[in-house]
Amino acid sequence: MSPARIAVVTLSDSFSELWMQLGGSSGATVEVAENVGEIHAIQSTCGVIIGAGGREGSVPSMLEALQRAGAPEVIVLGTETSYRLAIEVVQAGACNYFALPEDLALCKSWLSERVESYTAKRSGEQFAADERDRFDFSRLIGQSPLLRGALRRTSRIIPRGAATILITGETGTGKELLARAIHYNGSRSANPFVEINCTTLPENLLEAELFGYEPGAFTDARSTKPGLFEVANGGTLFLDEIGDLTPPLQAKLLRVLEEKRVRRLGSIREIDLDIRVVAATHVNLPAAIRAGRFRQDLYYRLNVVPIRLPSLRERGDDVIELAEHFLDRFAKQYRVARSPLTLEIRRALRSHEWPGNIRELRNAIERAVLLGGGNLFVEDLFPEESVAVDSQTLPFPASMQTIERAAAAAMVRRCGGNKSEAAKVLGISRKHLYTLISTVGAK
Amino acid sequence: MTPDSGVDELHGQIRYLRKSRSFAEIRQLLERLSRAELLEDLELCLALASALSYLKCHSQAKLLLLQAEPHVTRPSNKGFLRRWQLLLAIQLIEDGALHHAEQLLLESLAVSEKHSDHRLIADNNNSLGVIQSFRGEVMHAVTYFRRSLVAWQKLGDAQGVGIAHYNLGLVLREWGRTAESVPHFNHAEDYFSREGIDEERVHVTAERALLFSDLGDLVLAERLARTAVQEASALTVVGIKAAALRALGAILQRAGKLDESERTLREALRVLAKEKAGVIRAEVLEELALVSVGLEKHADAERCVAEAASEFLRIGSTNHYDRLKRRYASAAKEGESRYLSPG
Repeated sequence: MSPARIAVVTLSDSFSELWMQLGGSSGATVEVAENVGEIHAIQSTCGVIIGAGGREGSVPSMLEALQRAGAPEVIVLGTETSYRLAIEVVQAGACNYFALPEDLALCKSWLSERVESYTAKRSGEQFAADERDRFDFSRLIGQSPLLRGALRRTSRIIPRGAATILITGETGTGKELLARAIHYNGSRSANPFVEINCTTLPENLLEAELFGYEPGAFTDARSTKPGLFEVANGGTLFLDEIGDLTPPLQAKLLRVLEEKRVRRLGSIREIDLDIRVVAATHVNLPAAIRAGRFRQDLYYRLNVVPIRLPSLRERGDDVIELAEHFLDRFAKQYRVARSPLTLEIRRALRSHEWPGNIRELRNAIERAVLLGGGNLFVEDLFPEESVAVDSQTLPFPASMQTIERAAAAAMVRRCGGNKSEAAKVLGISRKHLYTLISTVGAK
Repeated sequence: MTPDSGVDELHGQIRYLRKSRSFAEIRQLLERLSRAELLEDLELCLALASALSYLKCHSQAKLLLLQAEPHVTRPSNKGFLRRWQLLLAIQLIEDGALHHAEQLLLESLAVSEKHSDHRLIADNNNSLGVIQSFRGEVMHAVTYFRRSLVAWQKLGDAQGVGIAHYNLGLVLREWGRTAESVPHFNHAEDYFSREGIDEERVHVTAERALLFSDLGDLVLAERLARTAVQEASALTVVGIKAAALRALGAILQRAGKLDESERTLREALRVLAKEKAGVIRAEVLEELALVSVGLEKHADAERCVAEAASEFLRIGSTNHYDRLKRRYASAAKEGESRYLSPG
């Protein structure tokens, strides 16, 4: 990030020693010029100082020139301690007038505030740019037609800055990730992304959190608190698990979406909103409407742009691509050598149901990388299925192969995952052990 | 007219050191000034108080802040008042004066919101979240940490965003909302990795290990905790090593590996030997108490419980104290020890 820059237009030599000192004290670089035209990219400075120092009469024309050039805040430094002059200068367009040396501390304070404000703004912009890169659509992994279709639809609606979006899909399909991608790839990326899970808080606290409150609105309301609708203003409010919202809150949310205004609890003042609402749910909302648990009018209001994220089961070979991605990530994170996905592993990945979808896959790969030291084993990916095979519920009669597989898996577990030790105890070679356990869990 | 270039240079130097989180150097530089000089320059005064606070020298920080009180309350210095309130509140939290700290923070927050001072909004909300979590008011803690998250986003401070996600993950996990805590820990890990903040990242690894333990995957939990211990050993911050060892000790205890658990937790106590007692030490003692019960070392268990309970009550964390009571009672399968009775 480039450092903050202050431009100085000098009308006299009175303060020539001052400029570098100010730069040193504020952390800004100082560019000194004799006229406006010499200042490079004046709009990207964080402030302009006119060093009048005895030539206060020339200030108005200089201010006019600066305003035409699009300069940000301008202050004037002079030597005259005259209120009349200060008022004239401010009326001519300056933000403030400081008489030196008396007002040096105030001048430094103004400068620090400008630099801090600039730095914060640039940091915010840099952060948004980093997030845009992180959540870029090209980084959403998968080539399956269902996913690509969903992403194409999403990228078409992003330019429609305020359209409400409803993302549906099973748990772990990436609804939150998509909501972030929508925000950071759109025009609102420099503004807040505020998320709330509608199941985390009880109804009364959720209401206070969303709408805000004034003192005395309820027993614990001791101070003013803006709600998340206000906090997200200009940006995106992501309402996760919207299907679990209580009926009273559904009604309130509907009103906000219709009127684009919100009122804090205990207040009569209405606050205009400019936000995009992205809602997500795994609940079948049409069924919830039929059961009387969700309002049809709210559904219509939310379902302006519906996006359905497919489950991992429906995405075919995306599971392999995702597994490769997570394998790369965790091998790097835990500094282990990355081994390729074997045919057995690929078969196991494809045939698993993945009820937890991508979240489950991520956890499974991380587990397998950590336990296998870079080598992936099926029983590390699917420990529950390994347990199921070697539990006491082995069918009777069972084939010798099933019994051998169960015994091998049980011994590996008893040896804390140490396969060399397990093979030794069983009296078989490691290669034979791997053959036995690599078929455990495969369907 | 000649500005004081020495003071300006010092300000510039402090700013640079603060950006690189070099708090020991800040302390060294500013402690050369006399107390009178510091109190005349509140920017430097608060910079020293902040550095002392980060270095866990809370009593010194508090003393300095109380000495600065007549200066920050002058009308001409009102710009410093909010920061002073926040810093003092942090020291009061360490002292267990949660109510007083809360009052200061709410006051500072109200003014910060009026001035859209996002940095103070973020810090105030974070400290208020810590107070609520100490009181066991987890839902209120969640709302404060969420506000802190949004403020850090507005500032573009990735480390702050990571810390907010970490705190959200922590309270949700302790509340039993494990599924909801997972994405927050994942985000925290991403942000800390991106910023290269290894200390915080190792903290997240240790907490994720405990999370997997809660989910019943003790094998993965143990491996993750061992990874955290290994990574912490390369760092200089003592608290991180202790936190990682505590996580491993707790997981080993749940896995039934009591002897190794005891050794690990005692190692954590040795690591913390030169540190002031605090939450982390009390949490290590809590785990050691449970292990001692399992090993039938009842006298050791009672000693650990007494010490942990005393520390939790000193810092005002009724949440931790209640958890200690529950877990110990469950482990010991008997009534409360005489050390745990109220009053």
